[in-house]
Amino acid sequence: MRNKKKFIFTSLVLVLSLSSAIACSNGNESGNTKQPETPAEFKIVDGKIEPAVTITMVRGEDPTVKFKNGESYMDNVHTRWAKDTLGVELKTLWSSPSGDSSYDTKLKLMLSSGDNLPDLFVAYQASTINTFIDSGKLLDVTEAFDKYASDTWKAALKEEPTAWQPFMKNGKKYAIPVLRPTVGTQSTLWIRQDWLDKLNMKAPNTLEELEALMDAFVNEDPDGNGKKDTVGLEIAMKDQMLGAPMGDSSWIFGLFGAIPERWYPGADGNLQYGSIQPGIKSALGKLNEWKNKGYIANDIALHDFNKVAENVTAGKVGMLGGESWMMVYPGSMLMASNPSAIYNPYPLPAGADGKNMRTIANPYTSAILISKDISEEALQAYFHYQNAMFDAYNSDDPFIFKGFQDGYDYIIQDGKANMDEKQIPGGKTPTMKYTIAGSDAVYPSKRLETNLKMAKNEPLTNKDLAALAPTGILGIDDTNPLEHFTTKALLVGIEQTDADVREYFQGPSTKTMLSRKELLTKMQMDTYIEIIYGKKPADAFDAFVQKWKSSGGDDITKEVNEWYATVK
Amino acid sequence: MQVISTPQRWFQTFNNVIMILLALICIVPLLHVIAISLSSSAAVMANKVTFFPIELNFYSYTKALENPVFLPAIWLSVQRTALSLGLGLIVNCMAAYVLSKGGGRDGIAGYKGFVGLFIVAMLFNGGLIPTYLLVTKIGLYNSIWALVLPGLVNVFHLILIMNFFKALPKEIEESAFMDGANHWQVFSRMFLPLSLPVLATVGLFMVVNDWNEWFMGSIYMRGDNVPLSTLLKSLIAVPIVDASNVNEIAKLNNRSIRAAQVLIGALPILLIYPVLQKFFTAGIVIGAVKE
Repeated sequence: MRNKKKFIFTSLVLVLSLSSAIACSNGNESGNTKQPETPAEFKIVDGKIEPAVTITMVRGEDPTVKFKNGESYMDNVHTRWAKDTLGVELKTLWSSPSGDSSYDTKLKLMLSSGDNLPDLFVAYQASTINTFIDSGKLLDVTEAFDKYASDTWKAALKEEPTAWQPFMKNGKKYAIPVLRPTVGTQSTLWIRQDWLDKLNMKAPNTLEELEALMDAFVNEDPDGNGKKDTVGLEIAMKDQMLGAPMGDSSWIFGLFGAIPERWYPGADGNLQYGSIQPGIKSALGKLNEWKNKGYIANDIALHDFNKVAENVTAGKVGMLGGESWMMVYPGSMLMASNPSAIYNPYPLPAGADGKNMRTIANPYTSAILISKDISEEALQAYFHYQNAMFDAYNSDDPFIFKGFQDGYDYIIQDGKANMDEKQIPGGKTPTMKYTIAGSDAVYPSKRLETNLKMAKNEPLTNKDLAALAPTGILGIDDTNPLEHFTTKALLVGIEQTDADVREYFQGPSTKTMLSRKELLTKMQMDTYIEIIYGKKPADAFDAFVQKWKSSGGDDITKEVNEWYATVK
Repeated sequence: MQVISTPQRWFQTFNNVIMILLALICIVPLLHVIAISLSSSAAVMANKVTFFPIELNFYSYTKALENPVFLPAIWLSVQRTALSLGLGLIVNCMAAYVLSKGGGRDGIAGYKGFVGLFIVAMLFNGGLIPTYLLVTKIGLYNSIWALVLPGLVNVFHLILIMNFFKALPKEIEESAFMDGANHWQVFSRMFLPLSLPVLATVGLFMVVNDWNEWFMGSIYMRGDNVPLSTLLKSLIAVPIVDASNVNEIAKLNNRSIRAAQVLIGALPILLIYPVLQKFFTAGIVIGAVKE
């Protein structure tokens, strides 16, 4: 009896360990199954590949993407357009929400389970992209890009050479950056125009005027409700100083000559970490003073982007720094309850020593990762497709993507495009999100030129309109007056581009960063908040700098500059 | 007539106050979410809504139900929960019945091995990647079984049921055997009817678990074929707002709609709970007592 039991138990354990061993070894096999391929006939007739070539892909679902007419990522007006016009069949194997971490989890599962990768896919998070680059399963795109990309696409990417940096390893390019326009991501100073008018004040040009205006916004009851319930300036600083598109803090520190949490060149040309620069100390001292006077909210350390949006909507905020689209969101929410309440964009006031600094976004949002196992036809088909997306910049046909945006982004009525949300059957549905890249093809300078023309109300030529075609818009949407604030903010923002500080460190996290960054960031936030809240004097900043350096910060600086030396 | 002493009365009052407070902690958030789902989005954004709807409307509910994936997701969740509940109870009860006999003369060979197997499985699991490999390689990807099978045997539930079975008087079982019943008959005709409290308890656990579980849905299912919990999770996750989607955010980033979706999602559980609650308390206590 006893022996029998033992036997069963042992065999069970054996079976278990065997099965797990099988599971583990499975992963290594499928990687080497590339078969030698005989390239089939690759014929392009009138811009269309005959016969059509299939590209397999997976997709992160953008929560803001809308579909109508029963369409989906798998099959929609854009995939049909690509097949019918270009002969490129886009086959989506699966999709998963990218708003939470599901998409990245699934990508990493796909990689570690040894599944065959799809031909290509977009990845958004740096850590995911680096995992794939390190896995060795991605195609080195350097040669393919040189060979197949159109001159227009190459010229567009050439304008943002740093966009390649995050996707390079040992001098080779392992992913193609998806560009975005950066102009408009810098902060302008948004001021409640109705309050400004009511109090008979002017937009501030200096730090002193800024403080005077904050004082008025707090103490002179701008909203006229008899209560002292307004703040002069709103800042999002929960858990991190940078990264909030509204309530940006970078320009406030920039007034004092530093940008926290960002790597940029110092006087010696090496990269330095903004969080420990002396200017921060004066900025923190100032923020403490402002908090004591009630210029900024009492619970400011708890404000994140959503809280900022809430406070703006509640009509409590006098000023804030933010990107160009402030009035579209959250501004439109504010106007819904108070139609006369508007914010206007103004230039940032001059800094303490006359200089300004503010952040500008990276020129890329994501990257296209291409599998090493992609077939030659599929690879060429992808470039054929993407070149066509960039063709808009060579065209003077604003309707270059025929049938692709008509009925979705706009409808054609009497030969003219109508962009009115209410006129489009089934509602306005932005189609640029259906593309492989999940966003429009951006040629930064040409896009900017057109945007600025729109801002200045200059007439747009057909060529300008064609430059907008990939986004699915055809000039200013007069049915949405809030768009005018956005273009106005572009004009204001572009006057101060000297202040823009980009992120210079684009490499993967360094060794010390991986082990220390979290600790150092927490230390930084604790010190900043304690100084702003007056729990510690501003001098505590010096002790923090010493501790930051000795707790790994010096090593990180060294590693960052080693990386910088390879791309300088 | 019973006389209640002053200290006792004090205790009663104190007790009632605590209980009312506890009840409020549970009810207040729910009221808040209901109020949000019935208010206009501008009022919600401005944080004006507390417990009463402002600018009452049902727009959020119609909008939530308009979402083409919403109703299919509910249906998938219902199917999944029903399958998990039915199969799960059968599998766990049968295993619990066998294991409740223990080893030795009346029990089964390899008793300790089986218990060991379950304990090991409860304490350690293969981890994300092996589990994912297993589920996808046996062809369950994007099928409802991927949501049902991996979690079917729950060792915690199994132990609860097993302890309940063990606590049933042995004499009942013996009398049945004397009348010529076999194990199947004893199991289905005696044990199961006598175990309603624990079955209701475990069943409730299962229903709540399966209804709310979102992770399996997000890794084993395709994006357009997910259970409600996974869908809600992705709807509630706030996207990064930037120039490319700000127009949509202004229209979609609507806490009222989300609140309505959450409420619709929570409704079945809210309805089941009161019905099963009387079993629930009895089941837990009895399952916990060991002789």
